[in-house]
Amino acid sequence: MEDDIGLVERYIAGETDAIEELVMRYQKQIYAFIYRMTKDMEESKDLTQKTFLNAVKGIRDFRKTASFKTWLYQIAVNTSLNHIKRDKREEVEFEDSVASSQSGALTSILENEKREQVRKSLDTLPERQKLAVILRVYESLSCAETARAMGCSEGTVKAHYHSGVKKLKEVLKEKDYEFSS
Amino acid sequence: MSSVHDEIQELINIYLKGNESKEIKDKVESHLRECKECRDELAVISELRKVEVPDPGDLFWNTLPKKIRITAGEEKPGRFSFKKLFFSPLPFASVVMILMLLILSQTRNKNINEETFNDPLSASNMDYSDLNEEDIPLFVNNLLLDENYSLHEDISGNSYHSEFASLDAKELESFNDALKNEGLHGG
Ligand SMILES: [Zn+2]
Repeated sequence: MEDDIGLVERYIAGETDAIEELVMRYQKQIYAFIYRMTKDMEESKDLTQKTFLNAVKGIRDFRKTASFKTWLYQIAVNTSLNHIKRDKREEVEFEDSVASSQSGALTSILENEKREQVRKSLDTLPERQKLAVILRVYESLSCAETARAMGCSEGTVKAHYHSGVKKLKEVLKEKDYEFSS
Repeated sequence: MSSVHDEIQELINIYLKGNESKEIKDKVESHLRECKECRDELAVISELRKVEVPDPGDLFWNTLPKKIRITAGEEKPGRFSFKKLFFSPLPFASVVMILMLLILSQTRNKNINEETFNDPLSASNMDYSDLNEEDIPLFVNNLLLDENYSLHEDISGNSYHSEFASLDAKELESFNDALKNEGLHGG
């Protein structure tokens, strides 16, 4: 199988079908990451498309010293953070009312609701902590890759990640969450 | 947090992926048996991993790559780029060809110039060592001649030298006189 950099070079050289192969390779990962950040399928579909278009636009800035995957995650992080910030400004009041009306249903121990609880607790984390946890836990990025994608040092990633996980533990304990192991 | 827990917690994500080495597996499991803090961490992370993402469906996956290609193609209509020039084989080959032709023609011109410069008939390159006194008038005339024709050097590269080379001394003298008269009376 041709490597990512080979496909990038072919695309830059004018072989436009190379970009289709790159999109096919990463669309599911990028969509899943964005969904975990936004929790909205339609929005995630749009943002996945936007991420790839931004990547194509800036493909000449891609330095072969980093992996294409990490570079793509970096664009996905920026694309989704920009969107979330814009969204937050518009929908603060709406989100507050939805959150308070749902909080009563979260004490059930049924598996689905447990997951919902975990999912919700992830949302209580500050943005950078949430990002570090998602990239490391779900996207299986190494510390170095996460640092590159987030545009910070490995030390900062570790700090965000550990305080994120610690906070999740506390939040879940507070809610008497039963760990299955 | 001590470095042992730190190290184990870094390994937990690898451990949960299930393709870790035997060494990592043993290390993580033996630590987990005796450390509640890391067990809790593992529990949180494995719970997080259970949270699924809804699938937008095959229609989305099958059309997105083409959509990106088409939309991206529309956004940058034939923009010229040097990088593009050097990454694609055909333009690259033609650039190399042009460069090679330029270099070749340069070296050829250089050779021609050197030949002209070393022309043995040029006054400056003449060997005067075996001249005697009788030759001097001819030598002076030749110098004048040299000045005359070098001012009128043909740009096409044809040299007057070859024509004069076949003339003997007398013929040259009369030609020189004719030239002088032309200079006085002509335009
Ligand atoms: Zn520990």
